[in-house]
Amino acid sequence: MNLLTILYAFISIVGFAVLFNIPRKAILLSGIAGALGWFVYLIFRTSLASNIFASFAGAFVVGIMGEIFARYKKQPATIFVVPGIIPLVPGYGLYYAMLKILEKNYQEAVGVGFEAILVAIAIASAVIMSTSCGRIYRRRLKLRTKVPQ
Amino acid sequence: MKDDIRKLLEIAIYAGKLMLENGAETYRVEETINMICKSKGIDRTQNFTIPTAIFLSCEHDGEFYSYIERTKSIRIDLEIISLVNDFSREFVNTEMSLDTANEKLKAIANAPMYPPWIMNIFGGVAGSFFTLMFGGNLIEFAMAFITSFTVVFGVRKMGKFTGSFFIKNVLGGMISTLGALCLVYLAKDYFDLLRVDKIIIGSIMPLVPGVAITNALRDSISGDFVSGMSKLSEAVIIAVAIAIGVGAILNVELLILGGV
Repeated sequence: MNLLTILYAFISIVGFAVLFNIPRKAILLSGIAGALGWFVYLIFRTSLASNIFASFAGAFVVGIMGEIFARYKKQPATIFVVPGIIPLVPGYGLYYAMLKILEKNYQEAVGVGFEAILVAIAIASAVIMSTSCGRIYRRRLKLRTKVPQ
Repeated sequence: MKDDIRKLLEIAIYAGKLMLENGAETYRVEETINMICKSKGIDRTQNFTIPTAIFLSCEHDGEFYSYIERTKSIRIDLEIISLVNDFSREFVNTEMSLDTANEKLKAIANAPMYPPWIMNIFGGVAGSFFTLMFGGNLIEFAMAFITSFTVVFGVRKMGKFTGSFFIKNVLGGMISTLGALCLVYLAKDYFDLLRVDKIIIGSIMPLVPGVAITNALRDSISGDFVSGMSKLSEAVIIAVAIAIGVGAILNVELLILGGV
């Protein structure tokens, strides 16, 4: 496990955050969310040796951090989540699968491509779960403030 | 009255279009449009959003109104999503007049981006640090910075001449491979152990559709299957385009020089 990659992940997330034109005050926070997610991903990948579950755990952390920052900064959580999941997303896997198809190496293409899709599903479901957690929390907060009146 | 409703629907569609064209999730667009319509007391609204169009139809006082808006651009601009989000909240909670609302949306559409040179530099940073993450060394990192800077710069310049995202991504793949190969051939005598693939990986990172495929599956999982499939095909086509660009240059290099 290479801890230096957390720093690399942070910096490249900041780079992507600028490419995605995110509001200036959200840049560092999205980097922090993403770096934490990458850290969790590294932990699970080394301890469980499962790329897919590690991606799920990492993306879930990014999502939860996104929800927290969203409440704190009064911005939609997507702003923190989209750059934050960048190190986890299987863009490279998808591209690699296509390259293998062009090279007529179908067997490897199927393997890599399928894993890319599974990782993407894991990240997407983790993000949706964290969004739902945020919604449930908000609803409970609303109920609590409404009841006494 | 009729005029007001028409204006309100135009505002709702405009807000939805701004969000959709800048990479918002489908459910967010639909929620925003419904919220804007409901806040001013439209009796019944139905709206259906897919990445390439927004359909909105309403009924009020026995009159039917319907709008279809074709949307095109595919890019991610999170600032605009955030601004439209703030706008819709303000619009719903205050008595903003319809004309001011329209003005505000127009201002949001022209919200300033970062200046191009900052975007290019940060594109270079984004790509080159991926090279480090994939295990590249410092010289490969520096080369990846140069190539991904060129890729982001080149793709933006090309975008002005061609509207096709397919061609843009093919060119992006070509530029990154060409840049990486040129740099490696130039520096081959001074440093040993330069891996072209590490440099190429980093420099195509600003283009690869990782976020697109994740967003596609997010839409599918939340039940927007048509949007999900449509975004998934976009992601696959972008990946094909980049692979064609990279593969073409690699094959030409193999043909002429026989590999590094």
